[in-house]
Amino acid sequence: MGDRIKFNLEYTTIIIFMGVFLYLGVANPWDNTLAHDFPYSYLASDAFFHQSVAQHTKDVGRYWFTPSYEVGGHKGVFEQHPPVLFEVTAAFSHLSGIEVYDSIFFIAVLSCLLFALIFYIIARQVNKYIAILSLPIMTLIFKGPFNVWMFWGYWMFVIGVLFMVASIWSATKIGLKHSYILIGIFLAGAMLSHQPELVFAVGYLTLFLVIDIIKNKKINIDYIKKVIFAGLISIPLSLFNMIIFSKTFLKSEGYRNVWDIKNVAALSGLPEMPWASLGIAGVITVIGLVLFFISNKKKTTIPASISLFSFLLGYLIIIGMGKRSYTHRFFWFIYASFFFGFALYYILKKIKASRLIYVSAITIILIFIISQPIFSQTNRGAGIMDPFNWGGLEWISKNTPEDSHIYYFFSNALAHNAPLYSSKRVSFNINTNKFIEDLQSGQIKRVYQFGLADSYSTYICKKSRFSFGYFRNHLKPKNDSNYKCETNRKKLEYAPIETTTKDICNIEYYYFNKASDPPALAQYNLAIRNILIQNNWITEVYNNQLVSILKNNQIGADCIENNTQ
Amino acid sequence: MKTTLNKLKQELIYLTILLVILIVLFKILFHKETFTIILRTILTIFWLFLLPGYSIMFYWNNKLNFLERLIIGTVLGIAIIGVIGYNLGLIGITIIYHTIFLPIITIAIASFITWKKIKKENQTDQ
Repeated sequence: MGDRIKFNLEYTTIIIFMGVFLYLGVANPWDNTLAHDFPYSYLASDAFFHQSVAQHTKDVGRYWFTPSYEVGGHKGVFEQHPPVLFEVTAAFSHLSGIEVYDSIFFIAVLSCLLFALIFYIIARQVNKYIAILSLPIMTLIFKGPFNVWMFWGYWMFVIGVLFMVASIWSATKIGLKHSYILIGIFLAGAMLSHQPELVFAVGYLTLFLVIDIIKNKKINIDYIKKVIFAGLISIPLSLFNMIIFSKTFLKSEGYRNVWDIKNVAALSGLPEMPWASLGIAGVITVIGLVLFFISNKKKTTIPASISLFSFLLGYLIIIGMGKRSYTHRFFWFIYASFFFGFALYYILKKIKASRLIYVSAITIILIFIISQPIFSQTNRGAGIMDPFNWGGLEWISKNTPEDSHIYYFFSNALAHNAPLYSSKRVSFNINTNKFIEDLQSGQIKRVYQFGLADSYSTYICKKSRFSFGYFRNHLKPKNDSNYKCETNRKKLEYAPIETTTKDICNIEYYYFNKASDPPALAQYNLAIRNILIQNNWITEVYNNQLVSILKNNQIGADCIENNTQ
Repeated sequence: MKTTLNKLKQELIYLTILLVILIVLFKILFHKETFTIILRTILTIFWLFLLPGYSIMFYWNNKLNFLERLIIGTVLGIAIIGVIGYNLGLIGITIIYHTIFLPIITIAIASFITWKKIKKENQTDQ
């Protein structure tokens, strides 16, 4: 084996790399703690959405139905996202005792670290020194704007990339006895983590086999057999989710906006990440690429081809892969790391300094030099959520009837829909633009405009023992015995106008923030709240420094009288 | 026989050292956190991901080095919890059982295969 337990420079370098990676990815954003009282460093709606699905998975013990409060109160809607992130998070949270909202973020960064290390071992297959020298550039994935995957909740994507890279690694080991077990499980992992990464992994596998056939001028039957066996493992393991996917996201998502190459980032809600944003590291990478092409390529072909293949995924926007391709640019620094290491190794070899001690020392110094300016870029503080609104949401989840509807007036933390899922109740969020117009009118109104908080465009349900159907409405109608799972999928019908254009005297639970940015919106909140609470049938059931929740015990009774327009 | 068994013994020592290193590393990184949380986190990573995956990967100990098996094994452990766990959930077995029995079953199967392999090597030696 050749591994020695004594001081091992390579392992020491890897451990230092892991330490810096985890510092940038978790410890620094999280203020050097692992467990928080509320979702920490969450900067976008998707992050809250995914944590709510993982929380539900943990609550019910399995990944099966979508929480009813995320689909307008419908029960029996099959969860249509790929399950791995949620399963793993729920299991991790259950055993570690760390809350789901912390566990899911941690699992995402851990997955990223692991796939960076897979790139390391891929490079190490041919040259340990190149592999070690490739490590420093990997820490640059935490540089802005590349680091948004952490804070915006691109966590399913990260775990999908992990399995894509693991599948690619296992393809390079296809000659191993029973290698199809690894390929099969990793392909199933990719399918059940993020489907586009399955497509890319299969693409690499196909390319690998085609190149093997061209190189050897014959078909390797053993490889073909192994790929078939891998398929026989991965397909049954992911079959149910594949069926659900084919009847939901595949139909509803389609390939929107993918041909507008110039505006992929803007249309996908992503920051611009052109090649030039790789900076000096990108230049060194190009030098490495050029040196690779002019050098004896034979030995380094596999890591170089994997590096190139992965890097070019970010350019598949030109064949219409849109966001699914563009998001791979988040990890360009990992994908390109082989060529970075190659360039540095070439230079060290030229100056006759390619001994392990120099290579490790240079790597460790570079890791610190490169990562030092990034420290401030990953320290984003608490993020969108605050302990007071989180306290309010938790109170609702534990103290209101399961079928109650909650109406939220303006709150900075809860401006998006997904954070409301943590209340575990069907929620309606104030329409901010309309609310500002109402505020500008200078009057308290009887009716305000709300929107139902939901994130799905298809509600798939069980029609019969062996067939699926769809629910028709965004919001489940109350007291409609004819409402059921239907055969054909149609565009979901909006929630009835009386639930969204809401007479505030017909609301049961009101949720107010007492402070906001701009302050005028919270002042307007308080003005409404103060009028409502004058009625002895409306009581404050929860409050803290920021949140006030009211309960209306006489729904429909005139709660405004002469105070309104 | 001795080669495989000795390798296994030596690697178990490596894993113990890795456990200690990770605890120290996490205590440095998350210095404001209690030791209990850090210990539970590291033990969870080991129990759920690292040990089940490593034990399966030991099957290829002659072809893959320790580092490769450790890294790929951890990813394999994540896949087992995520993929197999999901399918167990479909037939009604809940996560609380996955966290206990999936690692036990995986390690048991892998240990059985390793034991058979060592036994076979032993017979060949004789």
